[in-house]
Amino acid sequence: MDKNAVWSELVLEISNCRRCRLSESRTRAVPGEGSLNAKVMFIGEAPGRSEDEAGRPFVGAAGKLLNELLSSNGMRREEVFITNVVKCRPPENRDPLEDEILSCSHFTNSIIQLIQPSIIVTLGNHAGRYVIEFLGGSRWYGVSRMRGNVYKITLFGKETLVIPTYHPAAALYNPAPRKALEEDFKLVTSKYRELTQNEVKAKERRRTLLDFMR
Amino acid sequence: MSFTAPDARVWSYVIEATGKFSESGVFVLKPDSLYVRAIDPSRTAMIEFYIPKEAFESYEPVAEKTVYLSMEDLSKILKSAGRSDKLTMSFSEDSIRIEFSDGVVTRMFKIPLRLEIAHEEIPSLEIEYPNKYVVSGDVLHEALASIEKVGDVLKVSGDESTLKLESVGDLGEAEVILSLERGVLREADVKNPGFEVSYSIDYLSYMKKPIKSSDEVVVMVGSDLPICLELRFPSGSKLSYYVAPRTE
Repeated sequence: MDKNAVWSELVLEISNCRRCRLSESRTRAVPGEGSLNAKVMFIGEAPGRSEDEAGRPFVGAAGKLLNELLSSNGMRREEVFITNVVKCRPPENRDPLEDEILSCSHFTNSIIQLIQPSIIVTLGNHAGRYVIEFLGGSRWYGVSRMRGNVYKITLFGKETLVIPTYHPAAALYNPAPRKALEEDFKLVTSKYRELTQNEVKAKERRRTLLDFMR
Repeated sequence: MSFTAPDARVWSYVIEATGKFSESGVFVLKPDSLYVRAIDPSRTAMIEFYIPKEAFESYEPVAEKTVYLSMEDLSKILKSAGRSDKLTMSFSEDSIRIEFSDGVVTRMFKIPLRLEIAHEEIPSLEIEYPNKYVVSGDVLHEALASIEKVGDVLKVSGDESTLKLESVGDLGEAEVILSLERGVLREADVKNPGFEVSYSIDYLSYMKKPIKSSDEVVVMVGSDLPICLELRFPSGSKLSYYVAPRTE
């Protein structure tokens, strides 16, 4: 089955999911969006009001900041993949609870395995803890301590670079997280470029006899 | 349609080496010669084994015939070739009969022709090499056997009188210098001294046994070019083996 078909099935499954209490209050589930071949995946916390209405991730004020951070670093939203650790909006915009994150982990994991990103950027504490601690088996010390670094973690058999940073919502009205977020996005871009350059080099190394045949 | 070759052991080595990088190969029987060709799926290595009619004890192709064969299947049978065995291969529409004979005992095998074997046209390589070195098969075999223990990449460089083979790996470094002055190189024709080019050593190691059984090897090489090892056998047969370069 090709990636598009697997993704369509996942979207359908997420939209009909009743695994946890968040399904009772949601308007629309928010599976995620972006390129299914993305090298960079962003994982946020949970949909907010705008996302719940649109069924799309990061479309509110935090989404606007995310788009700005991407474009100012030469990346397009369409070339990355964006999702959340929970796919339905928690009531009153509260933090997602651990059992909700774990109920949704089946989908989160399936999305990571489908996209197979080389870089995962976790936005906020919940996403960072889920990827680094739950999936990666390393201790999570909170976003303010963990951010600004690159963690090499094997996720579902693939070596993945995990870059934790603040959630854009935390940076909307606070200059300190905003500055850190900007720095971390530069780190993401530099790792992404390094990765792309290494792939070009690897392709160049693979010369074949066809290059010399008439 | 059949032929008898006086040196079954050489055939065994060549087919075994080919089977290491390619599942299938093509036998083209022409009135005046036979050649076996194969290319690996990643297009990194290619072999062309050319045997003129005169190199056979008997050679009876009535018309040109092309046969695609599994190198693995053939290799299993040819492995039993003894030092003084002759090899006779007879081709029919649906099978091949293979006989080894040392003059006393004859062993016969019959394998069906597998029509499902994937085959494709293999284009020709026409490369003008600026540098050619001639070395005995024994010497080149020893050099490769020493170097393959150390690293994965073989760096080849040279000038008008020396050919240098070296490798660096986790174990350390290895270097073999073959020189004209010391008589290790039989000939050197070098138009581009100072060249340097690297290859995956595995592909060259595959060819060690055929190299050892050859009279001499012409090493053709140049910056950024595939290496060509032209193995010359006492019978007049010739094997050209190409490996694509690595670019760093």
